[in-house]
Amino acid sequence: MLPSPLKRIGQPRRVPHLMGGPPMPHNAAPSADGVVRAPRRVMAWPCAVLAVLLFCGSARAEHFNIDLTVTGKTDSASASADTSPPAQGRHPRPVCHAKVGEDLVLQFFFSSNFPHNVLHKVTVRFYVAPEKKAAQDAPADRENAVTQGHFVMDFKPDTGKVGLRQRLKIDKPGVYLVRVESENSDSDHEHFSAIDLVVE
Amino acid sequence: MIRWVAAGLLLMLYAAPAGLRAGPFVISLEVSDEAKKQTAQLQPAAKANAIVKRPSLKAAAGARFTAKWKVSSGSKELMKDVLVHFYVVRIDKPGQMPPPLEPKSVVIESALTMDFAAKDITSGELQFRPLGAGIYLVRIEAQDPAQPREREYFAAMDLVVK
Repeated sequence: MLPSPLKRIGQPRRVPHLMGGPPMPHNAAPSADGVVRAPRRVMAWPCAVLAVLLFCGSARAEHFNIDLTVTGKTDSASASADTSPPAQGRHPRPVCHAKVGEDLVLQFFFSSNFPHNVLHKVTVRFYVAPEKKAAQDAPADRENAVTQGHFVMDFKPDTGKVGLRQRLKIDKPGVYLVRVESENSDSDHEHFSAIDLVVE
Repeated sequence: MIRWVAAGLLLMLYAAPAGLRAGPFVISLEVSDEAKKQTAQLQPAAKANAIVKRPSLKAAAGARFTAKWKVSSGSKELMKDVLVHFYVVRIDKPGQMPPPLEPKSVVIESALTMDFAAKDITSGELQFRPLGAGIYLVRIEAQDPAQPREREYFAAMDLVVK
């Protein structure tokens, strides 16, 4: 079962592993044969170069972390943050399959990854809206959205966040775009996460 | 005469429930379908097993609702890491206090955290469809972690779906 937004957002001290707290020590875990081995020595300087490159990439990139999930009875899909422009982002959208009338759960967590200052009056908008086909570049038909909504809030550096969990059913077969996005984030690009939902 | 009026106003203010006196948050909630709407404002806290009188909206099953809420600071002090929590949950009878938020009973739930300086505002607008006929509690609440847990600031209404 997906965690409640309150549990994940409102009680960070109780669930630090969900809130980006210190990771479990992976190098002490048993390997496939069940034996716990000491971490292997690796060449230090290539790792350092790789770490610097990765750090530069992530430092350049994102103001927000996004986790978007759609869960049905037999299928689910998750997506993380992408950026626009281009309008449809840089990564292909995951696809989730569902039946007409099936119980679906939409969930997202949208959190600040920007360390410098408060981002004021950011709009976080989400919707589930029909589209003609999966992976289409054209915008979805938000006039006929199955559900939609938005929040307007200030994002505190690194710790500001918003989450939502919603149950819904879709009555008509078709392809739907599930998308959560930022607006007015005081940047030259906006952030979003999206999934194609195919209802048969 | 003016003295008597002033004294009366002071007496009314003193007699008002604690939750209605000037608090750290100003909260409003509006729920509407295509035909009608209902509003609620900041309400006083009640005991866990109490049945309270609060605004109510009646609607037909299958209707789509829009909830609009707004939480703003009514304090001059900075309030840090305030949790703003909204939910729609199925309940047994009108006026019932919030039940545990079991996933099977919750239609929609959201939570956000932010700091509130004087006059800061956050707002939300969310569409939802109830899970079927029944009674639902629609509630927006703000919790300042610097205040005792039992101090609740919220606005709520019943949604009766037939």
